Amino acid sequence: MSLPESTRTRLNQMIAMAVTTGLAAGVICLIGWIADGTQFHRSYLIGILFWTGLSLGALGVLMLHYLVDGNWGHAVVRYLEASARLLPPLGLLALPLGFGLQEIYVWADPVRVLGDPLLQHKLPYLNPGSFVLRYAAYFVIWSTLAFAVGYRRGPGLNQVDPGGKEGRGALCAIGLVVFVVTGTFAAIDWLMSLEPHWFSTIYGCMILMGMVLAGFAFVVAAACRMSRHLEGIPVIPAAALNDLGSLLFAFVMIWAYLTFSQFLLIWSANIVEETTWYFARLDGGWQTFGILLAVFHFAVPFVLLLSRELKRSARRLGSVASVLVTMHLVELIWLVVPAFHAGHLRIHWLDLMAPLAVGGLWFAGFLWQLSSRPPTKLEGVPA
Amino acid sequence: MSPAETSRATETVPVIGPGHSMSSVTNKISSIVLTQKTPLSWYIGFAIAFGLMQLLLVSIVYLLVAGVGVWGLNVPVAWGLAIVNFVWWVGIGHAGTLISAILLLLRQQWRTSINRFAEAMTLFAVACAGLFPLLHLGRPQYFYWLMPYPSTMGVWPQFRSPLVWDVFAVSTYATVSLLFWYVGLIPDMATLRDRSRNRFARAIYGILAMGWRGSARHWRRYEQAYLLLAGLATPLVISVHSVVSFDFAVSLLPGWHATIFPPYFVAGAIFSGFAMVLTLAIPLRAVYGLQDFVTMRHIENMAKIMLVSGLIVCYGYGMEAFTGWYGGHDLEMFVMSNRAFGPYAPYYWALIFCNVGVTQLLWFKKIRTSVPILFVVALVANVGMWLERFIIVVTSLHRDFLPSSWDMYTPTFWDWSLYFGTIGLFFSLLFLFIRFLPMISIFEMRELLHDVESEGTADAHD
Repeated sequence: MSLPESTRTRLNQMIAMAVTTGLAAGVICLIGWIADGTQFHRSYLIGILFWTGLSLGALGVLMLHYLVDGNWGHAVVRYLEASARLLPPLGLLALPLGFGLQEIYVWADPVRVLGDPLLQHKLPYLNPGSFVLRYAAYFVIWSTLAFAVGYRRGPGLNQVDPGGKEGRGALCAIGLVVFVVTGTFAAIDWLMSLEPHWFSTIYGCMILMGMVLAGFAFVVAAACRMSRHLEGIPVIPAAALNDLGSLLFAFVMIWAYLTFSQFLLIWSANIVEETTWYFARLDGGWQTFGILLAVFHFAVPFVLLLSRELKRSARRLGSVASVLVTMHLVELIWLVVPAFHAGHLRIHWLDLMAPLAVGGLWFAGFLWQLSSRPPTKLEGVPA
Repeated sequence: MSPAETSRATETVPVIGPGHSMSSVTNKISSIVLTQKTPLSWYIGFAIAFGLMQLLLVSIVYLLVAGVGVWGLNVPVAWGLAIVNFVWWVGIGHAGTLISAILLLLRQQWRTSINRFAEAMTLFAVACAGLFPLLHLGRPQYFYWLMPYPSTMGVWPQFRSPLVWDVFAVSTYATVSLLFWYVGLIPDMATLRDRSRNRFARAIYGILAMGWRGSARHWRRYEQAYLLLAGLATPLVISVHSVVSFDFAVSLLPGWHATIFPPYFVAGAIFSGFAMVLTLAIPLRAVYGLQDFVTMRHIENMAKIMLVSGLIVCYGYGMEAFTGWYGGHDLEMFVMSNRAFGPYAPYYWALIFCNVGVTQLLWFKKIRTSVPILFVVALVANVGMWLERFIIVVTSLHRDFLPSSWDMYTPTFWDWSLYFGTIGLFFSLLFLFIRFLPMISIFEMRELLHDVESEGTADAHD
């Protein structure tokens, strides 16, 4: 089924706009690179991780949907696929980070490693060679999964297919295991090792959960908006919206549970190896970010998503989801920047420009995927 | 039906066996309590369980007379089997609430036939769990000091201690579970009251049914109350075992202080809980011929939940080991190597075999649908989860920061007798429950039958 001409034109306009924004922001980032290479790489890490998180999260939810065959997923499966299929270009976009590993990661600097017994201990894991190898492996695995799970199709492109289910269930089950393991180590590589002395066992699943939440929230926000404004894109039935809202609610709770567990245990044990991480993030202005996260990444969405009425309205559910996506960026900045400016709130303009640059291109890709494989009313799905 | 649909229908095992009507469901379940002759196996099972329960009484009396010195505790290992068993029993209790509350909210129809005895199992497991900390107090008559109440002594519990949170978490959990179970029983009590021919039984069931007449208003209020209780019970599934994990994780001890503990403990609890439900459900359905109600679909779904929660547990082991090395902390690394290669290494590897190795069998549909093999897998998981708690408690304590205070821990006869005694208590209660209360929810099965028929997807009648 193809989209009506008006929608197609609108989508093409939006794609053009997104590409333009992305390229313009990209050029500004390039200027930033020439002016301040160190800052550029640190900011670009945020840009890449934010959008990779959304795509990766979407991949996780997509596999979960195929595995449990829940009704909630049918309404957003195309959006999830569109998001997950952007993992290969993200892998390429991340390449410039390779030029600045030393500026981002202390452990990549051989001089620093020489004077630091703990970094020497971690050398087998934290060294530029194996970091790059793992980075390549993650993207190859995720990209393969993103395309493999959507590959088996039933008779019609947009039907809920009973035929392809068996094989896909097994693939998704194994895929999810691989997803969790690779996602955990990616979180350790890219984020936890920013402060290479610090460690926390829950960190990998906490970060991964944040990505799943944001990736799903983005897809819900996009689906709510597009189904309301674009002709030919099916309206999501209230019951399905309700389910999407409930799942979002569950994700918010799990994220908060994991995040708070880490905080409580580190606060209560109060040993210096661990508390440094929170001191860097809850002092000198960064505490505003902490409070923002507690309020808008948890408390407010939690209360709002309890309401059945809100969950059944595409407009309002979409707004809550958008807030959650924005808060994911706030969280990411809070996770990354204090590693360089501990206990001292300092946000560079590149920290926002880099996500915009990657985001423009990412969003164009997302819309392009959706226009070539548009969401349609699914047969056999109860309204 | 299109051919594709038919093939799908035959692949999916129904949630209720073929050929059942409203009255056959009611008859089948209520007759176990009211009319059927109690099977000989019930008497034998109950006798064994009751015998073990006497061992519990003896152990408690001896403990109270002689003091906790009769256990194998020593100074580095001040938490021995008492805590291991406490965590083990609390964990087992989790499946009941998960099945009744979370699966209800998730609209999983297949929960219906297993929720009642899973809830009963929860209550009995929590009762067993509660005994251990009380007995470990040393002077259990002062147990009420754990509660914050204004007294002339001016003594308050330490609110920053998770041991105090435990008091609240476990007692709330026990209360809500009891309410949930009892509220669920009310309509069935009324059914038993109406069907029993024995005057005495009729009076008892009548009192317990609290005047239930099954009017539309009763049902409406009932549904509201049930849903509300489900909502209340849901966070408890997570909170109780998280608090139990805090008992360990807020400390500074290597091997205990790990941020992964809360989710890893919750997953372990669900894993062991479902293992226990399977351990109980498999013989029960065979003895009482309940294969139509507890179908292969239930069995397989439970096996799947075991697999998922078991994998999360494996993730926890993996992250602990990796971070133990990655953190580069001498003592963390020592604890990890002491677990794997120290004096308790055989227990550690047995635990890995049970929880990491055997669990992977559940990936295969052949295993998940083979009742005898699944029964063995579930038993192995029960043992594995016990060993896990043993390893966590003992290996971290017995060789701590000061090598001069290192010691070995060996449970004594009285440690074991108390443990096996609680197993006796658990099974005694369970046997009584099976004999006197409907172990499957009658009215929910009738409702399920109605839903299945009216949906037109009544695979049951194909």
